Amino acid sequence: MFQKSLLIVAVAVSLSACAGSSEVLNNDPFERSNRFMFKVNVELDNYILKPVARGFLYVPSPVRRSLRNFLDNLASPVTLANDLFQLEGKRASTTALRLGINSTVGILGLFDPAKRLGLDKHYEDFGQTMAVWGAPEGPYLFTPIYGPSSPREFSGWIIDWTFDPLTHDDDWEAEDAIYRYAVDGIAFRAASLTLLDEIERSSVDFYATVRSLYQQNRASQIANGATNIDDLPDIDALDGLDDF
Amino acid sequence: MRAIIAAFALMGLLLTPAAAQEADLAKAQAFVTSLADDAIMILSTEKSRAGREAAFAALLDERANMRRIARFTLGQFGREISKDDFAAFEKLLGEFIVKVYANRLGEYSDEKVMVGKAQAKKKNVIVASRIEFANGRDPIDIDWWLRLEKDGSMTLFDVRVLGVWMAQEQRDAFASVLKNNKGDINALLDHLRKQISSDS
Repeated sequence: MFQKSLLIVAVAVSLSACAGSSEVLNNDPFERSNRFMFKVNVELDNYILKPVARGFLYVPSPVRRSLRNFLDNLASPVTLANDLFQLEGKRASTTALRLGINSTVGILGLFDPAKRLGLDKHYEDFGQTMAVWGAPEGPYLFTPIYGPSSPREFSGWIIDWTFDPLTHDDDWEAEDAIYRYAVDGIAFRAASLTLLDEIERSSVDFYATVRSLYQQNRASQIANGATNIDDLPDIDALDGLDDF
Repeated sequence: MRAIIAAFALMGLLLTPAAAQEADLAKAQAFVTSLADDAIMILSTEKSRAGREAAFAALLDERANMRRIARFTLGQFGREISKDDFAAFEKLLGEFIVKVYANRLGEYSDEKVMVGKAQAKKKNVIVASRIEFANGRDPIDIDWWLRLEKDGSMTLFDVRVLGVWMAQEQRDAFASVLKNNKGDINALLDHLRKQISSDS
């Protein structure tokens, strides 16, 4: 499995290397194949994921919330490691405290008492860490099942998996990992049913809209949600085009 | 004495721009507060879709500079089309925005807007805010990009929800439609018309 991960990383990195050679719009040199994968995913979504996610909404909402808390708590060690890799001391201590409080007082992470103490959750992954370290993103990749991604994000996800404590836990079987990601995916999909349907319905080009949402949202995650006025596009020139 | 006057004059020079900017920041925060209040009022009082859309259209007309938003979302293609085509696009864009966001916002209810800090650069002001919900759902952070107009008024340019600038999102989608239709503006106009007239 580990060798396979390395192979994926190698392919991803070589893909990102050849992408730098020509000027492309929206960092999407593989738009044709990405659009094909997107189509495949939309079908998979319509026939499998969406019906399951709709069914999931019948689970009472307190149970769903506890499940979300539990999964987030499982992801905390990876977030903590990446907080530290990024030298984010304050965020690392927030994650550590959340992990400690929610795993104990919060009964194995089923509840989120840390939030009531003002310790809000956040996510970090190795893809974000690499971005902070200055690694290039590579081209936009629409991957089957996993969805919108980039070589940097996808290889980061594999690296996260290698240092996740659960991966090294003898009681944690491969099936457990599959269940974890499947339930996480279903819960995530269920939470975004209405909004994604609405976005699909109101988009002039759903593929391009999803790409924009992903790229912007990812940049925002890397910046830890901060908005820097210096990073905004310069719109002064628009005023010169005609009378405003 | 002259030295003191000169010193005061110098202080005045140094202080004026900073003071003006501070006033702009406060003005921008007030603008967002009143805009958000108006939007929440529409969501809570206008229950019919048509009523809601009409109210949002009026709000957009009053508070946003649609010409600038149209120029931005059309990007480089905006320079290549005729005045008439641009006017048609600007009008359709306004209707499209109202349709899209009146529906996307329709999901939310019982919310409270907490306006946060503002930052300014040249004619741009960004105001941070957080929407909190009474039903316990996770709060949403929203940034408002405002523009100081020549006459001193302020207008809305873009809104960032969950890390996504809305006008940027539309610009990316429009560019894609135009690219895939060899830059034909009519293809984009048709797409917009179709979205506006779709009823569901």
